[in-house]
Amino acid sequence: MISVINIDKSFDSKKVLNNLKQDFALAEVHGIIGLNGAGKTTFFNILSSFMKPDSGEILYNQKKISRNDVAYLETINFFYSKITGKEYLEIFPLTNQQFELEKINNLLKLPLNEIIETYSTGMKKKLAILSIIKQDKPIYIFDEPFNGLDLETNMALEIIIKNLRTRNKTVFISSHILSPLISVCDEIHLLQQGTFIKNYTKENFSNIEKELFEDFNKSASEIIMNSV
Amino acid sequence: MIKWILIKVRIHQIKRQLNELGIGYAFILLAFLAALVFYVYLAYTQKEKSLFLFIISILSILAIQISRSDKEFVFNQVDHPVQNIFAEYFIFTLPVTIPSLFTSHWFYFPLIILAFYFIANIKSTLKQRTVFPNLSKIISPHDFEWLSGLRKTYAGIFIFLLLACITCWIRILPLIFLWFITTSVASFYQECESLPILFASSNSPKNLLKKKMTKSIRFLIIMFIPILIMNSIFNPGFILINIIFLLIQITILIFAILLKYTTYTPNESMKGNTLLLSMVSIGSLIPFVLPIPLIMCFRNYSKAIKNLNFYFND
Repeated sequence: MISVINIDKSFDSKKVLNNLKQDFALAEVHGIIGLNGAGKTTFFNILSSFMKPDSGEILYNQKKISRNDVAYLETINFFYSKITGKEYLEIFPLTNQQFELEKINNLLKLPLNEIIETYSTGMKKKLAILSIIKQDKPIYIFDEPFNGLDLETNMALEIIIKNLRTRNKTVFISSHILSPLISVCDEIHLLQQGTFIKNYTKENFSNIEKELFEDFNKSASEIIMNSV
Repeated sequence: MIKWILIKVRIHQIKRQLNELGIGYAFILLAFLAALVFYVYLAYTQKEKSLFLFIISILSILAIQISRSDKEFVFNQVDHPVQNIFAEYFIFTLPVTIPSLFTSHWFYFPLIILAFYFIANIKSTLKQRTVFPNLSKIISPHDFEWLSGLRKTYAGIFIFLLLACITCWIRILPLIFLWFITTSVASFYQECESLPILFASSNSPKNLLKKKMTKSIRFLIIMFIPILIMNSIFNPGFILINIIFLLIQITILIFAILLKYTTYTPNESMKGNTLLLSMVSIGSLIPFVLPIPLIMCFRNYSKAIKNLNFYFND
């Protein structure tokens, strides 16, 4: 079990996470959804120990979660200038014994011997994904992994996430597009104003869109019809 | 009427950097600047040194113009881009150009200004391409600063290394070429890696700094030692000077590493460190300010550890 216990986090005077608490079952894929500014990335930063909370803690198997427990794909990926894709990957330890770079790159088709500055946004995302999955960790976090990916790589990523689950890994994933989450997640958690307000299990995934967007669709239609 | 946007932006940046550095560093910088102006004045009084300064000034600005990343933006978005860029070069190089006016080699000043104006017109930028794709067979990807830095500055480093080799039998001159290499290498440590790379590099700040310093010293010694040995063979009376020179270059490099991690912010390029780094590099040529880099190394070590602890602490 991963237990998030009363996490608070503020930036300047703005409270981003507000007494956040939630238990997450292990070996499952957890989708985190919420509007912009709901606190998804801040939650992931704290979960991965990239950031300290102002108060509260996160326990993994009843021990304080450590950076070594987590592989984290950030929303925006930063690389070092003038190094090749292959060199970037070599910086990270190969602890996932199943990982075979050549085979997976046949699928992703990255020019690994070229410097990363020559890559497109999608290629950079693919490279960052490779650096995550070459590491064997019990917890994987993917923050907006589908941004900038082509259709084929989107599918490949879904397969990668499903594969992680079969290897009993716990996966956290956020996305502004619901369809890939519905396809890979076991549970989806709604974050609103820094607090988890609702959890959806597979059986009621179909309610998400209706519950989240019904009111929005009505008011948005009205505004757009009258003003655009 | 021309709006001097670039100058205004640079002044804001300098103000911000000085605020970040604090009053102590600001005074040290001022002292360096005063020493530099005096040293440049002395150099301009001599025929060979003044010619050398003239060439270096033009080559440095040319290198900056060719490689600057904001050029496309400036040429597309700023009114009077050439005048803006020229004014930037003119004003910020005044401490090293204006002393020439007070010497018999005053004529270099208008020549430099003229050259700056022509350089400001250059629009082309070097295209991104992969040079030395197999460099990581010699240098481990864990030493990414060196891989990246060598790919950025290989031409300059190669030329200076070649010049140092060719002139290795002459006193002092090869040391000046090697000093240029140290200055280039120190600039490798301006870009801050992302947190995933930082954490993959080491598990503690002390260990990280130790690794970085040991590796970089090793690379620098491998590059410099053959030339310094040859120079010592040709000039046996200069062995001690060569040893002291090597130690100073190592100190500059350690200073660059510690400065990077003192100001480390993930994913940022610490351009603000350029000023301090340049001052220390140039200061190493002026005998009476030599101890300052060493003192700053000791001061920055604990600051770097403290800054890194902020990121490393689970």
